[in-house]
Amino acid sequence: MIELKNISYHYPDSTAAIADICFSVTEGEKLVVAGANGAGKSTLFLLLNGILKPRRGEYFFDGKKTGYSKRELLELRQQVGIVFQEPDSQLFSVSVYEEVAFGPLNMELTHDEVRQRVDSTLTALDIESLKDRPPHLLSYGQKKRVAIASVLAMNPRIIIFDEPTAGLDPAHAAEIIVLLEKLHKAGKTIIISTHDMNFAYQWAGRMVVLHKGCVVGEGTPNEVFANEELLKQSQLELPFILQVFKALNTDAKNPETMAELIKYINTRA
Amino acid sequence: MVHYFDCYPIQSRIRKVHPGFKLGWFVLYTVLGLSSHSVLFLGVELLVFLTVTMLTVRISLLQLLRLMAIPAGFVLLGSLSVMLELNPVHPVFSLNAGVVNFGVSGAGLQQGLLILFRSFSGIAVLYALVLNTNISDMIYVLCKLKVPEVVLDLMVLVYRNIFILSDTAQRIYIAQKSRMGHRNLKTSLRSTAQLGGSAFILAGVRAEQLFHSMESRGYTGRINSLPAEWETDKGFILVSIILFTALLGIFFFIGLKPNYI
Repeated sequence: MIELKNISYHYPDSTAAIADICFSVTEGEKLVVAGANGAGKSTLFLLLNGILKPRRGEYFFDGKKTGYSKRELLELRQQVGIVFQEPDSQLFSVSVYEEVAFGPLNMELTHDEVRQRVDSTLTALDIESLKDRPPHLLSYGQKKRVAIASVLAMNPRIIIFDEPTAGLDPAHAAEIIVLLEKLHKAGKTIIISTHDMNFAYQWAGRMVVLHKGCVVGEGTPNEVFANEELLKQSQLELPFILQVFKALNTDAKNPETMAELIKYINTRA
Repeated sequence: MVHYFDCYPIQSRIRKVHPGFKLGWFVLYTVLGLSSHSVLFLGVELLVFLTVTMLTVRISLLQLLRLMAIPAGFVLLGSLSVMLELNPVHPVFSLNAGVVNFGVSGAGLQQGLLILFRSFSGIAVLYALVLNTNISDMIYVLCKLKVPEVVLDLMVLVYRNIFILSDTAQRIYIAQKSRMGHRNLKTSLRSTAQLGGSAFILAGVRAEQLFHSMESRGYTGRINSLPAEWETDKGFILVSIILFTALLGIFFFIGLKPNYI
């Protein structure tokens, strides 16, 4: 679905952000991009959405090389949506309804189609009651939902979430995780970045690890977290489940959830 | 947290009324106010619109007066400067300061009161419009009045970026205050100067992030919007006509004759 070949990008002040990476995304997968702060995750996402143009390398979408003309970028952005980490960086309209309608209106849909999309998106995210309110008067959790809705309404095939649970209390974070599952079951390809390795371990189908703008590791969560050198190099923490399981000194299969770990401990006891 | 104006239109009883009506009434009442030479009429218009705003927006008089305090200072200073004279002829009030007399003459008082009441009644009418109409409705009407698209797009972006700037400035102020940045006049002045510079830079960074987010959702230079759905109540139209007729009657009865209390 997506393929990046030898992509490099540096910022105008010559700060190197992405260095010669090869990266691919398969349709329908749940991908976590992990890495320490400054590893290049956000830059990678901006490249995927076409906001940034690579200095070198090629970007292929559905097997076709992506151009950077206005029309090609519009087509790309209809397929690849990005929800930024900070909702205040994303929300600008005078009401929630207008914010969510902003993207669909740029897709040249009729007004009736736009209204239908906005109404169904607001319902899906349970924020209908907020539709007339200005976004800047909302709580952080509400803003996050509106930011997600504003991208969902465009119905992209791939949705990128830059740290979707950052800054949220556990209850709201759990709601976002449920939403991610719903979207995946609806056929969306989901790419997220997160520092929460517990969540990454339980949720991801595949992980890609970045360090200083390079891909230093790739694989299933079990493969990535089994590589101690990789974890040390990229400053990632072992998920709590695996830390406890490792301390139990057993050859059994790694538990995938806390419930499985507890069951195993109870069995051993 | 600063209480922003735009939380009031959401709770307005006439939120769903077509904004064209509201803007039309604003223009009519402003023209009435500007045409009147009577402090009494302007006082009546001021009281009427304070009452209308309190009833439609559902706020107390105190809250409304607090909101109006922002321009009130300028109006009071301006009116005072018109009223006060050096060596007034036939003063209503005067103060001898040795060589010169400060005072208020009859003509100065009349002129100052006229400016004061005309300004306040104009502000009351404007607040009645602003607190009952959200910005997107306002922009819709301006669009229908053929205001250039670039101006309207700028209005939306300025509207949003004012909050970004204000929010950024607040955060910087709190960060400074937590490190004793405003403990006395000297530190306060230095911190305020730093705040002034930093707020714009940081707001600029956030604005750039906002632009990326808009681009990522297909923005190509034009902010499209959906036409809103309004419901103009017949009761609203009836009350508006009665109110306007009454005020127009008062205007012709006393509004054209110069007088002061």
